[in-house]
Amino acid sequence: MNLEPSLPIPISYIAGNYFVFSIDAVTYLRREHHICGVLMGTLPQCPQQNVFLGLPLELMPEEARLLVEKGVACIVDEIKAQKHGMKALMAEDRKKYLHELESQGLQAMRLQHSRKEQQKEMALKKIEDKKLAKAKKMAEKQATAETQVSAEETQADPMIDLFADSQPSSSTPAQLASRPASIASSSANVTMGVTPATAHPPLPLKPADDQLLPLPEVPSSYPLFSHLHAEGYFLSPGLRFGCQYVAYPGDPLRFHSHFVVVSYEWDEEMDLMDLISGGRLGTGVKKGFLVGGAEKKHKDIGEQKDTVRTFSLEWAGM
Amino acid sequence: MASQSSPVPVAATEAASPATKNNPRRPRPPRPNYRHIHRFPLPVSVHPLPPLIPHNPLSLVSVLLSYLTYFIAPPHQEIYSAYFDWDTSSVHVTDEKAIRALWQMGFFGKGSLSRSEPSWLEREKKRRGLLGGVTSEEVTRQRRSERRELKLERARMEKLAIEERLKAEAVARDSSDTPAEQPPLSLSDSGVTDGVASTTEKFSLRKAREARLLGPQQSVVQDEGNGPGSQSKGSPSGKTVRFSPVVEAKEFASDSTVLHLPGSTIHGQAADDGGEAILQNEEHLQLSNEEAFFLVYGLGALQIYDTKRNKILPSTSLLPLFRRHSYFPPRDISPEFQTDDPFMVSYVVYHHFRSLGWVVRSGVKFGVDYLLYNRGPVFSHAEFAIVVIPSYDDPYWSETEERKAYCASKQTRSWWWFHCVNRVQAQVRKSLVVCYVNIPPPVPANEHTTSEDIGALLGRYNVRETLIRRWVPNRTRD
Amino acid sequence: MADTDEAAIHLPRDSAPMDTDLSDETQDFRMLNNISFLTDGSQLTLPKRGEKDFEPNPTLYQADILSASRQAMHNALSYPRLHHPRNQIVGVYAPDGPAPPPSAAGEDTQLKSGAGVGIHPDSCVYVPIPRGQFFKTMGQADRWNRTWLLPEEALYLLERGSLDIRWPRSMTGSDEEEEGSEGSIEDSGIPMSLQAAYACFIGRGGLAVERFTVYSGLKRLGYTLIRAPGWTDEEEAEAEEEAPEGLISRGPGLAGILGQFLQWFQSPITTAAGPVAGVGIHRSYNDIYRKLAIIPWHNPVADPSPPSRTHAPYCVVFHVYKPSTPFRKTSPPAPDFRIAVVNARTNTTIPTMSQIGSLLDSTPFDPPKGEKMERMLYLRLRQGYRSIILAVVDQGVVSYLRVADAGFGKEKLYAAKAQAGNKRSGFTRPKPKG
Repeated sequence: MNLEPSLPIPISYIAGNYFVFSIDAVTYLRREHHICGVLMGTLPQCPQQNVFLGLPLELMPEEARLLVEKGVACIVDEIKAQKHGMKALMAEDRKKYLHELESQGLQAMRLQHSRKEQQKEMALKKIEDKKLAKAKKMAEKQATAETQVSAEETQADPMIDLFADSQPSSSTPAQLASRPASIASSSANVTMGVTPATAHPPLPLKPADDQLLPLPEVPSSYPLFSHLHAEGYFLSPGLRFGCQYVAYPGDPLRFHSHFVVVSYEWDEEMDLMDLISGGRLGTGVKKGFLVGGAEKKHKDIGEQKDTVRTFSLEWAGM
Repeated sequence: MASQSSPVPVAATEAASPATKNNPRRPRPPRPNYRHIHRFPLPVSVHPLPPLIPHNPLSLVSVLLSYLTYFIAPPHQEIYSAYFDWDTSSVHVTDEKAIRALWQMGFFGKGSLSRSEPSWLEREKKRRGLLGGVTSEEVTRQRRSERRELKLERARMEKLAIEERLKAEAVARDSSDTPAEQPPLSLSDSGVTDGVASTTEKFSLRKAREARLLGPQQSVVQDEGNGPGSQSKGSPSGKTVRFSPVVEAKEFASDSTVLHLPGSTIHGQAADDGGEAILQNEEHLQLSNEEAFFLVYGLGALQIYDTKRNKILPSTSLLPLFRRHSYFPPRDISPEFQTDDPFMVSYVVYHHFRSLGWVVRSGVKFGVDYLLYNRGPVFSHAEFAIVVIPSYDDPYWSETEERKAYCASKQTRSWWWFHCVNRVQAQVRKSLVVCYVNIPPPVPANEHTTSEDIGALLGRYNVRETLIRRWVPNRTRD
Repeated sequence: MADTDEAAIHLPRDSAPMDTDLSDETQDFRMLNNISFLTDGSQLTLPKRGEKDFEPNPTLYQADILSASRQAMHNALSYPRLHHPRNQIVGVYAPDGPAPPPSAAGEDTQLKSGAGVGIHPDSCVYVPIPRGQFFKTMGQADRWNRTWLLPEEALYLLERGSLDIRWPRSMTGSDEEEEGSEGSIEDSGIPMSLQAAYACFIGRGGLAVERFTVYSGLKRLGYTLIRAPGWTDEEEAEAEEEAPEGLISRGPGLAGILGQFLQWFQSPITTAAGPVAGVGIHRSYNDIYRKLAIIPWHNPVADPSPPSRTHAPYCVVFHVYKPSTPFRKTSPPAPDFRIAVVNARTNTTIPTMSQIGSLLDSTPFDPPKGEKMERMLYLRLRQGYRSIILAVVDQGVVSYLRVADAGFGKEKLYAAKAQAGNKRSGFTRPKPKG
């Protein structure tokens, strides 16, 4: 997990949006650059819910820009890259890629097979135990045994362990093949189809120069965004919570947010009613309502200076 | 004729019975009989005709009789007085009787020193011990200060726990040869393997309360030292990012002094005078301009004097005045009024909902324009919160680019604001209503006479209410 | 208490179901471990909300929990999309839209264009051997028994690991077999990655990312979604309809003048300078209220006279069916919900009255019905006469709003009060005031 992906990380630009598809990049950006984005994809292992989502990661233009400005990432015209990349794919690369996928699929099949065997054994054992213990309410016990099995299988999931680091970059077919194929039953030798998350391989990791795009366009709240980010806050889109950004003191995985954030232009007129509702909104959920913006630059102040000022509002009742 | 008022006493006794029933359970003074106090929905008196029953010729006589009585001695329609205060751009009512009437019949206005009902005098009397019981303001203040103390206690406990853990971790580091492995192991026991992200460092207000109960037993002296003021000073919390404990304590401290300052001086005075001081009501009723205009123009129940209090302003001159004062700073007298003057837009909505029977009051404390009460705030919570948004649908407004840009600046509100308001209403369980007001084009110059006709002017607007509610797809699946 | 609203704030928040939505906040991925991975989704019970800290502290303890959470997240996101041969469904990307199979291409010249296939022109993936539950609600079969998928359907199925989409030969630079590869949509055998699928399908045929976010989000919950007529905002029809509309509504018009005259006649003079309620003796409060009704209001029951056009993004793009609604894709029933999707980053302001008005007017008249509605005024008002769901998307985060035509003007509260007499329950909330 603590892999350092090669920089700059390509950010895919597709129809006006910014995406990251590589799990290593997602983890790295979160850990090292406090950029969380929003996961928007369906988790294949758990596709019928919205609480936990998967790849791709959608980045706000603000996040994408910040990363490009830091030199951590670059913006790639993904549609172009795919079209050209697939056209230019050499027969050799193609074969290699297909072979790689095949061995991955084979390995996955074996793993699943062995797991099923294990499960079966365990379930049988459980049932046996129960039989011995209490012959009275057999039918009932069977039901509970099954639920326990499903609970146990989550504890040590070989499937996850294997694929935790199995991005195409980190797991070569040789590695996969070297694993002992202990259970060699007939069905375990059929390969599984694999849909990879990223397009690399077969496409090259480094995008061609003509596929690179300029800095993302950002809303006027960008100065406040980058200011808070520089102060160590993790920011996520806030519309659903009634603001522009939600600011967390640490990784949102672990921490409650501290502020609901709204950006104003320096000269922009504030409606007092907006401040009331903002203050109530924040205080109602134990957060501060933070407004801020970049001060109009004076000529004598250097360009580099951060001119953003922030104010926190708390609703004090009546 | 006396029989006409009979429904009222009946309703009064009905209402009184549940109140008395509640009495033994709650050791509180009985609640005022709101049903009786607020039995009239508007500050206008009504004189119904006796029912005309076709089979009964006597009923005809009774109807005729009542007409005759009204003819000979027309019932007196009370018109209350108020004056326009230029500085606050609002209308003030100082007459005790008028204040009471406007509040009780239709819940108009708000006490200048109270949250809504003018109750300063009562509160003041209670505070001086002249009356028993506590006011709602006092209850609130008490509750808030208790909560604050509990929060401080909780913060202190959290801090202690962190310090202790740091100490323990340092000890573990020193003693153990393989320091790096120790903590993750213990962690996997509690957190990862069983898949439950449980943390031991969870603090609830309940725990804090328990600790507070235990506190006095341990050391009374220390507890006193830990008052809200000294608490914030005592804990050198330089690193805290969280603003709440410290700031709240400060705010509380200053807050309480402000709150008690006038009280203490009056106390002093009262002591000097031997408690004989006659209390003068320093509070007046403040009417919003919409309320005032409705009372004058809609009901004819109010007359408003100008600021110098020597001239009654008719509704035809009140309207321009209020329109000018709906800008900040108030606009100078100008010949041209705009159809989207803020006052026009807000009054249209106010009048609309009043005419349907709602009690309409300001929604400023919830960040909205109006709150709609059924019968009145003493009876139930406001169910609906109204946000007013002007709409420029008439083709006139999109004829030129200039006008388009102007309208865009007036009617566009951001999504974040909208969600913010909606969230706040959800917090207090109100339904958000967006009330669009269609702005008519300006009156053409040749039809200038109609601008004097307020009814015709108001009739050119149009309102459309849309109800907004958060939709949670998880809950509508079946 | 003079003002009971204050008390509402202190009600326990747990009892407000509006505010507890697990998907609102980033959840601890360690909780995902509770979910059994290889069981089918319908049996899932989601774990409870994880505990979070309020602020960082320097303890190792906290750091370790965080890194464990991150590890769990990493693992969960690394989970592969695998297709067991037993139930593998293969689709092929057709970049140029529906086309007949190469074997049939010669039969009919009309088929060449793709229009003759009778398939939605935005379809771009075909499944040669369709099987499984998904095709009950998705896809469109052609006469060669292939099922064609719209971009959102294809991407959704690929993303959840239920469809193995292959690149077509025409796009993979298949240098060896040159013959017939021109425009060939035959399976090249190369699986398409998630990344490539996003590049190919997002932005295609009107599938903006915010629309896909809404689509997949609701699909995950078991809803069935189909495209609504408003998906494509036909601009050309606009010019024709606008002209007459402009003529009618310019100025007050004859009807308007007549209406004004009538109004003036009915309530002589008093509305000009007031009091509207009239001078003299009032016979009843209802009379006063009736006289006060001088502000015109939108009547939700009246037909929207010229049905105004809706404009993107304020048009219905999805018809949504609850999981429990019986659905046949050949003859879809009336939808349970109609959804308009707005990207809050490109449409930063809330809709104007004409936008929301024509959107509401484009939905069918659906007045409050039933005994409960008739009895409960508040319910009736909240239900409204027409309704729409607005999905406002901010960078992948969707917030849904139900917008309804309330029709307050139809509910004379003053009259209802007298009518109901002692039946207070219809107007006040069940909970007594505090």
